[in-house]
Amino acid sequence: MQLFGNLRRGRKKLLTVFNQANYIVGQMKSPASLGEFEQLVLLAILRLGDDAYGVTIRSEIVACTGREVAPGALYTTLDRLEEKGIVRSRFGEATPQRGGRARRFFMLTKSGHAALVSAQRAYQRLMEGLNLLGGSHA
Amino acid sequence: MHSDRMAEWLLSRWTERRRAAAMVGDLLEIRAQKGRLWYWLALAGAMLRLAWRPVVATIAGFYAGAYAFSFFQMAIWGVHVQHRPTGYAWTPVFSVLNGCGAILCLVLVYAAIRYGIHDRLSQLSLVLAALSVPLAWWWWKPPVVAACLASLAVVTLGSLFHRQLRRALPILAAVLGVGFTGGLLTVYAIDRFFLLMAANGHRELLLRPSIGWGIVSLMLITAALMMATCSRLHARLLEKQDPESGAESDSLPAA
Repeated sequence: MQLFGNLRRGRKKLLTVFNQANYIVGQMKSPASLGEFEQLVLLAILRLGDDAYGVTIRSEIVACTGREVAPGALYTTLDRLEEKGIVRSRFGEATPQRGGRARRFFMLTKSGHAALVSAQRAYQRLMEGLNLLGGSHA
Repeated sequence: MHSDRMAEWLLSRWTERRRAAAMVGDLLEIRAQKGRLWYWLALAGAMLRLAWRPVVATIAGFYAGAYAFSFFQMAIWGVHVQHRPTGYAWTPVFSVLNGCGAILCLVLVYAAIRYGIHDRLSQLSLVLAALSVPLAWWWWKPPVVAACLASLAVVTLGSLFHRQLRRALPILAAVLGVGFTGGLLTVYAIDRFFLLMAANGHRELLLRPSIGWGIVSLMLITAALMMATCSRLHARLLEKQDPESGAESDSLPAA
C-alpha cells in the first residue's frame, strides 16, 4: 500500500516537473512565422473587424492590393491559420441570398495578433534606412 | 438550387459540412457579379486545393506501406533463413514486427503529406518507424533489440506527458489494430478463396489474373481503412476544437 502511495506521489511530482517545463518552453516560444499571403489575410481580417468573412476578406485584399485572390487559396489559408491557432471562426446567421447558408466569420486570436505584430516589426526593421516610400521611412 | 447542393456535397467530401456550406454561400454571393463560369471554375479550384493533399497522401501511403512490407520481409526472413537460431518459434513475433513496421511507415508517409512534418502524429510515427528499422534489420543481435525496445518504451512513456503526443498514441494504436485485423482477414481470404493459387502457384496466377487483382483489392481496402481511421481520429483528437465550444479567452476584441 505504501509502495502505491509512493508511486502516486512520484508520478504527481514528475507530472508537475513536466508541466513546468512545458510552461517554460511555451513562454520561450517565438510567435508563429507568417507568409506574405497569410499576413495580407490577417490584415484584411483586422481591417474588417466583425464583418470579416470569405467574400469581404477577398474583396478587401483586392481593393487594397489590386491582387486577384482565388477563393480556394483564401479558404485553405484561412483553414491553415485556424489550425495554427492564429484565427478563430464562428458561423453567423443563414441568409436567403446565400441559399440559406451561414457566413463563416473570422477573428484574430492573441497569438495571431502577436505573430502579425512580430512579422510587421521585422518588415519595419528591414525598411529602416531605406527610402522606398518617398522619405517617410528614411 | 440543385447545382448548389451538388457543389456543397462535392466540397463536403474534403472538408467539414458547415465549412463547405459557408464556402458555397460565399461563392454564390460573388456569382452575382462574376457569373456562372467563374463560379464553377472557383469551385473546381477550391476542391482541387482541398483534395490534393488527401489524394496524394493516400496514394503515397499505400505505396510506402507496400514497399516497407517487402523491405521488412526481406530484412527479417532473409536473415532468418541464414541464421534460424530457434527454428520457427519466433515466427509470430516476426510477423507482428513485419506488420508493425509496414503500418508505421504507411502512417508516417500519409501523415507527413497530409498534415505536415510538424504534426505530432507524423513525428511520433517517424520515431517509431525509425526504431522498427534496426529492430528488423538486426533482430538477431540482442544489444540492438534491447536498445530498440528500451527506446520504444521511453518514447511511449514520454509521449504520455505531452498533450498532443498523448492524443497521437491512440490514433497509432487504432490504425495498427485496423491494419492487423485487415491483414489477418486478407490472409484468411487468400487461404479460403484462393486455394487454386496455393495448389498451382505462380502459373495459376498468370492463367487467372483475377486472383491477383482480388488480393491487391483486399490489400487496398485494408490500406484505405487504415488511412480513413487515421484521418477520422486525427480530426477528432488532434485538430482544433470547434471554436464555438473552444476557448473564448484567446480571442481579441473586435477592431
